[in-house]
Amino acid sequence: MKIDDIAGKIFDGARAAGAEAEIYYEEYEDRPVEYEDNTLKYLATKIERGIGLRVILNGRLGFSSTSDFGKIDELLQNALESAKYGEKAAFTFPSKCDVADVKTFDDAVAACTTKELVDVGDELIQRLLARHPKIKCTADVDAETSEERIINTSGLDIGHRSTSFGADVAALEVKNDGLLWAGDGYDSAKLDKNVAALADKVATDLDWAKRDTTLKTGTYPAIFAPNTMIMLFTTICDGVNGKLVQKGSSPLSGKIGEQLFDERISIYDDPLLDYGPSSAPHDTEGIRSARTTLVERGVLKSFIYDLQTAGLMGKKPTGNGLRGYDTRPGPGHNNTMILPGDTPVSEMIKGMKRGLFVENVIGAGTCNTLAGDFSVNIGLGYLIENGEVRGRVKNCMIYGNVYELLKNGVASIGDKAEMKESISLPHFLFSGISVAGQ
Amino acid sequence: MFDKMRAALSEGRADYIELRIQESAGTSVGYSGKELESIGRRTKLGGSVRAMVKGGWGFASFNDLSQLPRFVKEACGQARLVSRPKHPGLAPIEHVKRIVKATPKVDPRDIPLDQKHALCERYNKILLAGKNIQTSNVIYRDYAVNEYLLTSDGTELNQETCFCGIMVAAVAKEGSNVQRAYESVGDLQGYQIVEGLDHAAETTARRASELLKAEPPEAGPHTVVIDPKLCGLFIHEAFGHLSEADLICENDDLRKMMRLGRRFGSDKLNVVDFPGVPGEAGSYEYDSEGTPVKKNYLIKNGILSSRLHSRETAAMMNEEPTGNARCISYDYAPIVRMSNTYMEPDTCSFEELLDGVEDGIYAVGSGGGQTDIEMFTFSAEEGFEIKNGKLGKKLRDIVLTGNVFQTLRDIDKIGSDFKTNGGLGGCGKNDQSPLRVSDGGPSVRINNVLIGGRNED
Repeated sequence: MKIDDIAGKIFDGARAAGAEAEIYYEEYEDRPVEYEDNTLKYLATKIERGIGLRVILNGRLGFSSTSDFGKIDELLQNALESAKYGEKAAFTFPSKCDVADVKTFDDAVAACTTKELVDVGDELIQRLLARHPKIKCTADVDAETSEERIINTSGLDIGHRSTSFGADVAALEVKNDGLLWAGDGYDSAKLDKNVAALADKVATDLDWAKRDTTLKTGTYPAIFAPNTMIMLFTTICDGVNGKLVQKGSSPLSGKIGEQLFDERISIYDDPLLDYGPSSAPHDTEGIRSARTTLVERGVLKSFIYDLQTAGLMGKKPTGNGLRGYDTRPGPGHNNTMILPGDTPVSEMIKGMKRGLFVENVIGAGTCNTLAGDFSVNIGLGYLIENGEVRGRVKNCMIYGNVYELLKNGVASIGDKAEMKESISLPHFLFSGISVAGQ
Repeated sequence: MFDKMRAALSEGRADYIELRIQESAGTSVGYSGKELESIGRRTKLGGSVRAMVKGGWGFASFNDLSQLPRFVKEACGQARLVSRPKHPGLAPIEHVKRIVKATPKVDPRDIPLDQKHALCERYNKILLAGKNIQTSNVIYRDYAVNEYLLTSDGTELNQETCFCGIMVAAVAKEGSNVQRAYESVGDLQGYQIVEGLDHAAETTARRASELLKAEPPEAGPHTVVIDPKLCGLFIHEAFGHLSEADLICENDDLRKMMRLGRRFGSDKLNVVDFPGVPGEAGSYEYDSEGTPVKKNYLIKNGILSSRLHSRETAAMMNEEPTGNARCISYDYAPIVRMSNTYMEPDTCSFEELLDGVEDGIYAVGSGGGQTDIEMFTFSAEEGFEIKNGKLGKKLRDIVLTGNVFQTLRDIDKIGSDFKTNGGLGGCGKNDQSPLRVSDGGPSVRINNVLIGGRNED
């Protein structure tokens, strides 16, 4: 059954019951190729499609979803029943959307063949093995095309297509007394077969970790790589989430306009980055996409909202209503952009008398993240002495508070941002990080 | 359904073909603060084909069941493109033709939405009435999955699973100090487990409030006593993942490191994984490949005695399949996962665990953890100082870390109590998250555990 017919059927039923309705339709085709133990192991094709249905009945919100297109009547009944108890709707379904202009679909990704994906994966692993013949790699390369459509009883009918191309690798070296993992990846809406940089980076991580060193408990200057900085900025992203602000559980509630961070820190939510991993011309509720300034020169400027949260708080929607077909929309981040600074990473390392370089951590998110506390094991990190990498630091923990660090602890900010999981961030050098070590 | 599946299967050509169809329906209710944010029922329908040719795998997942034969051919075609040298095939299993029904004591599907809503509303009111409570969370979830599994070598299984659980959480706030406490139950026993939790909701609100006055621990190595819930998390992160054979089966160095017979801890240390415990969060009778389950001693008397296998990893390591191949849903291939993983109790009383600890920490509850297989973190919900064998002031933000080659050896006393935990969360691996599992054990004393702290302002 085609989605237009399904929508017609649902809307007829909804109107007969006296309700407004909104259909969110999502379909995607993902084609990952997976490697284990340096060789190709899996070729897959994953096709998924589903419908999320929201209704507003007697002023209350209801929701249901299904991927069973033979159960459309049941879908409507479930949504209407849900509306009996639902929250009072603080918005109405928009009737039109003047969509923004942003590139989200690359024909080259859609046309990507299995052979092309395998060639990329083979090259990635071969480059790594050329520098480190004894490692065992798992990797995946994938090309995905997706489409979403939002139709509602107010007359809205919009949608767009996206593509995604990504490559990921994890290299394992078994040493006499332990394991060494190094890995990284990238993704973008655009076809990007340049795995040379990725392979070189992981190979360099393995080089730096050739020797193990120990670190005593104490406070040390530390460079946090983007893969570690994600932990800190995930906390900030949660803090500016309008829903957590509305509930009062965000520590940033009531602090718009305050200088909460170092003045060198500026953060934007940007759905309009051409070919960004999380770009879109409109959000999943049909609100036009726009760039939102979250933090500017250290001053908190805005939170992000979906329609309901914006309505409850009397704010303008920011176009951040995000979801998959089987969940309700909630405030979500598009591409989160942290502006780079002016210090090359090589300079941060050269200028370090004795300190840490933390590539990634174990246990992020298991502390009191609301308060911004973190306490994690250094998954991959190095001791730097007199401007040089001395070796890998193991079995140590670093801990602190994100808000304190980003306000008072920033020594310098890297001059190049890297995109990791839809957050674009540079390296940060902190003047003093607490370490629990030997 | 099987007729349609058999017809589609016959169109494929491969060494092994597995066809899986899942229909599922679930109800959830969610309170966030005063607002009922979500309530209602959702359904899903989907399937997948997995095919193997000479050790190379093809996989196709879809929602449109009318195209089964096409996807069978596609998956087989993909498998033929991948070929891995010297692959031993899949370990043989007993092929079963059975219907397995879910057996909850009170079936959540028989409970009207009204009643589920009223239950959550009541718990939520109790949470919000607590002292210093800023906001609350109540999440109720039940789901039932009806799965059809057909394989080319003779398995024909129709398994039904019914899960039910609830989480209640409270956030206490005083100035800029924000603390959270929660309690979560969830498993296959039935709707009755989510009833009668008024007291648990009260306690949760009180714990959140008391955490406002608690202090973080001093960073550094400590002697730690952990409660059964934290012991479960500990053994899951510290050892469970390392037991998953798909990690080691193709890596000679890891196989040497994880040779059966290697000592990991004292004679008193026994660790089990067993999907066949009735009603637990990680329970099932046949895994996602149709392999019957069995009780598996991962560590017996301190010695590595077994691991978790799929049919493929068992063949590669020349060991018996254990029934630990699981996929979280139809759109993923089965991989090696834990089920119900626990440490067995020994004989020490709680007093004996505290006895002799001059300066240590008693850590309780599970706040989540992570592992890179060698190093792992596990965090507690709260804790207490131990001074000269007695419990002292309350602590918060206790995150512990360990190393699998050292920390298990540092366990020096194992308690006689025992508890297992399920809940609404689960285990994450390769994107398949959260997979329902349970973990558990006794109270345990461990020496020399590194703990992160907090910067004192």
